[in-house]
Amino acid sequence: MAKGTVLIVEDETVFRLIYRGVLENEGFQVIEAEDGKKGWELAKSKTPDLILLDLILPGLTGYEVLEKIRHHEETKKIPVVVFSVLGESKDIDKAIDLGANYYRTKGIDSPTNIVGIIEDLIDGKKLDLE
Amino acid sequence: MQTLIPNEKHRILIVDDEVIITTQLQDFLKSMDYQVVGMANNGNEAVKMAREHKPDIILMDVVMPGSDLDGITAAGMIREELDIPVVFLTAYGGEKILERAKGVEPYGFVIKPFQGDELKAAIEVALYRKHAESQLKASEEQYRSVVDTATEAIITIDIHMKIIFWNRAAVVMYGYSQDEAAGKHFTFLISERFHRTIINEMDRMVLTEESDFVGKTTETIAIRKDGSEFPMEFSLASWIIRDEIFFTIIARNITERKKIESMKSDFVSLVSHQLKTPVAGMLGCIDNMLKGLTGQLSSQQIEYLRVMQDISKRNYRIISDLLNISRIERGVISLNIKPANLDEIVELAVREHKENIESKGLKLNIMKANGHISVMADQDKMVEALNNVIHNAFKFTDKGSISIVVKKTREYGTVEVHDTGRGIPAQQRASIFQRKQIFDGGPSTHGGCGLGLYIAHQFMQLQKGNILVKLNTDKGTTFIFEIPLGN
Repeated sequence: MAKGTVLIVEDETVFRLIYRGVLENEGFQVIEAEDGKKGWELAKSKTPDLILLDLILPGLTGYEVLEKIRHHEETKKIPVVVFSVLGESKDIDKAIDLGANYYRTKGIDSPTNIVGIIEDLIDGKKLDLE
Repeated sequence: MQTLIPNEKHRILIVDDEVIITTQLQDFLKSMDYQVVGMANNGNEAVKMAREHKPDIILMDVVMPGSDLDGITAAGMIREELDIPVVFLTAYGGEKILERAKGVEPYGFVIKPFQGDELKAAIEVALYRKHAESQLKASEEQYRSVVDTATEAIITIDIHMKIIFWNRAAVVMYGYSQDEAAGKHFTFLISERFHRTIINEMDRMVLTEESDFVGKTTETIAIRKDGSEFPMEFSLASWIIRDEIFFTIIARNITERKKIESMKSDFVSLVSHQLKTPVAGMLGCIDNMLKGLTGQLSSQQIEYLRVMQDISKRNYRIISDLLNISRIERGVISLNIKPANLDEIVELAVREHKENIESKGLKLNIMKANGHISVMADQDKMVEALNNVIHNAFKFTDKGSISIVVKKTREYGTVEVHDTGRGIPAQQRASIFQRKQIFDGGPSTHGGCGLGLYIAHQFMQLQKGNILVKLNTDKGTTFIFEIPLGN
């Protein structure tokens, strides 16, 4: 039985491949969207257990998708982890203000580090973001 | 007596109603090597002859009964119209006359009867004063033309920050005329949210004679008469005249420059994204393969993947370093200082290196603080500064351990990074935080461009913290990071 469903909203094929690999290996079911618009539609129709959301996206930006998720009854409680390539704290702050639960910089540390965070978020454990 | 101003013969006009005196004076002056260009007997004549001959100096009797224009009135007219210095000659030293005479600002006063030396001294002093005044006037005019044609606003304020001078460029820049600006407090040109900073800094300067404003430029937001704002840069110099302190401010509108800077900054972000993303993607793929997510690997495949991982990580660091340098040098680093947990910062910084350190056979000791240390930091910058130092510790340590200790002093949260590596040669310690020529002597054999410590130092300074290197007699290196405590 799957540990839960994770929606990956990410335009770069390589990151969808990496995180699908990591999450499926851990027993999660993964659905993907390659732009913001499709991401928002899947978030509404599939109500996944967690969303991995890139901030720079074609169609709708990650911020816009996040805003919609937080203002929609069926999706507003879904934990969201945002990806930030730039790793600029002002981008991250903006995402946190809009209701992101955690951020991850697409840097050089191992993608598998994200598993524990995702499990905690799905289990409903609060993560201290400050 | 020697004449004070080296020149050809000075030309003198004599005015006196007594012909005997004018004649005597003429002989007298000629004997002293002056040229007498004319002798007038009354005020009207004096003005007429002054116009005609334009003498260097006029000797004028004050009291000329029978003349419809007395000496003082004539001197006033001449001064106004021709700006020729007048020395008064008078037999009367009466208070009233002296008072009146002062009103036309004479260049001298000689009481009759006089000695030859006295007269010569009075003439020479007057000529010298005139000469000095003309020079001053010329230099003033030169100064004024510079000030008037400058494209920068030039503003002089007194110790109470009241505007006492305002050039044409300032009129254009802020929209206030010179009269409107006069007497206003300097902060009325600055957007209200910057008033405190400016006033505090000016107070500090007056009290301590030290300031961040002097000798360098300060950026702020200015406000025009119509209420619109614009980015402004100014520099300031103080000067003292008769125990009073004044400040001259040179200000420039930097709207255009800011626009270009922001375009460049956007460009840097774009390049950063475009260069880092593929490397991060490649690293993620390699990591997944090494973790066995794509199936079992042979030891040879693992070896190949490790090499690819090293190269990619090195690339990633070089891109980061170059982008950071570019941001530091153009001064476009955005800072986001807020309370952060020091233990968490250390954890984030260590995360990237943990695996590498351990697979190299080094021991990694992390001693966190007892309890929460809140610091005022830009978390990303602090993590990056620590990252660079931990990375160095890893590179330069072949056996032993890397220890990271989180502590707290009265003012700072501190992080010590100690390694048992080769240490820093004494002669290099002074310059380790300096900007090195990137490819001086070819690329570093250790990978990277040797800018890590410079960036770490810059980032710590930006956060009002510090990075120090501890002098160890035994082997190894210890870096200490200091970051201001939060509440």
